[in-house]
Amino acid sequence: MEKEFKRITWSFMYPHNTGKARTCKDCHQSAKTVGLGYGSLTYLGKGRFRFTPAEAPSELLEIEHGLSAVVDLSGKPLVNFRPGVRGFNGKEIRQILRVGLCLSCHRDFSDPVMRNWPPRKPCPVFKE
Amino acid sequence: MLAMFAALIQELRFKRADKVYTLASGRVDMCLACHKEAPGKAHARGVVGCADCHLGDPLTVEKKRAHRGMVKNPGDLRVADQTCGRPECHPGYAERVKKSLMATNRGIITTLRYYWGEIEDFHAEASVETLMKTDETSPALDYFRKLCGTCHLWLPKEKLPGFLKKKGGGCVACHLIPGKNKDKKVHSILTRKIPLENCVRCHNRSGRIGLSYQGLYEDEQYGAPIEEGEFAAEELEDGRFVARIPPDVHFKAGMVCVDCHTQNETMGDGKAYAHFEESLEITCEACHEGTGRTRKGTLLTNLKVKDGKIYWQAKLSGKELEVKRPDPVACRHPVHRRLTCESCHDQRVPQCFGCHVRRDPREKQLDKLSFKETPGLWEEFRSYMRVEVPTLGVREDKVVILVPG
Repeated sequence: MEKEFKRITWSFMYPHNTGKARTCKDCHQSAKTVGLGYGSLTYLGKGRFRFTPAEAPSELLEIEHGLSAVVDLSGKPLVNFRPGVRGFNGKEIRQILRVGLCLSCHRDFSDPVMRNWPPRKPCPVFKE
Repeated sequence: MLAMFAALIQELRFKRADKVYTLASGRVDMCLACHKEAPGKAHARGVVGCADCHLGDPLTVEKKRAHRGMVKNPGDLRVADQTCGRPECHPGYAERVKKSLMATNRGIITTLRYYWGEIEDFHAEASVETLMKTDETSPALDYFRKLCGTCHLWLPKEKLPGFLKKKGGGCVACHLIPGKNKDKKVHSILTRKIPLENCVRCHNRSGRIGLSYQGLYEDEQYGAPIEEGEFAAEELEDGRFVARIPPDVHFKAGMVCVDCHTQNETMGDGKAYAHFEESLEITCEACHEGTGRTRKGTLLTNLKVKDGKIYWQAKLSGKELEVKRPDPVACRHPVHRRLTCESCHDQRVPQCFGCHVRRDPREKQLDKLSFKETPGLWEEFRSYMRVEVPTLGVREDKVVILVPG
């Protein structure tokens, strides 16, 4: 008799490969970093994004998303997590990615705007 | 007459010691009459008696009597109370170590059973010691017994075949390094300067931290490049192929695991924790902010602050290393207040996607806790492996790195 179960669980860890920090874009423009998995992001306006996965759903494992995804854009968890651990929620994902839109002009903290950034101040150039 | 003759023969064959051998303390140690080995400075020959560690009878040169009750490995946790942990030497340590996660493997066992839906309590009691004494099993425990059960301190040294032979041994799993003269049969050396390889002997699977730290990555196992028809990739002792990646900055600076990981973390602080994160003390801030204390208040004696600069005296090399303070803008900016250091400063992490295992009930496999072949062969598979940008998530309201598994 064959018995099986399928469950993907993600945990947290410290990789022990410490060095120079990741760039701003590395997190704020990365679908993989925020938990959506490998794929590309498109800004649709009014704070909305579209995520196009690069990975096909893992049919062999009967999973409807790519193996690198842990949440969707709304923050809905797609996998199990070690107790006490979670993926980013929808609000956090939108906030992180929103900063990514600024980075084309305001590259990093060497830019005074980024260093003294008042979160609620609207950008005079970028149209939401 | 016959008895006298027998006694004479025995006397002629008996090799008496040339003198009474004593230790620096004045205690008699006749082991020294035959044994010339020296186990290093900390347990110097003539200061610490052979029988203090190896038991047996130090008051005779009669081999059979002298060796009665001897132990080859005094570090074995089954005897450590009478050897390393004896009241005159390292009192209390054996009890602490037995409660530590490296001895109990409670975290691994409980997590495995919890993930597999066998238990609901993530903090359930579990220990290798109990599993070794009983036949307790379940699918997750069978998997643990056969695949995970080689990396714990209760494993007797040289008990398992192949590369597994070097694992385990209780105290000496960490504290033993090879003797200096490799050509002769020499006593291994006991040390507090634990080299990296002693830790990595076990800490090289799951999160692969021991590999990533050194700049090694267990890749897809193609063995490429192929040179003259042979796999030319670098290979670990257990046969896994590895590729080179940039190592950890602390490794480059000559630091090893015990530079950061305190005695309380590695040998236990006397409490029986369920998971490693509960036993963990060290934080990046303890050094890089110059506080010099772990999150449980343990003092880091190798950290010095001089003229506003922070220095770490490396435990193996003794070199003074300057410790960088966090970037005053990027690290301290309020928008990044929830970030752990590693969420930015670890650019890559090995990620094993679609990890799965299969048990073939027709085959047998060695149970590493009972040392018997039992039905059921476990095989591990993965969909794909990457060393790539980490995914981030949240734990205790801090942004952390998430990995599958």
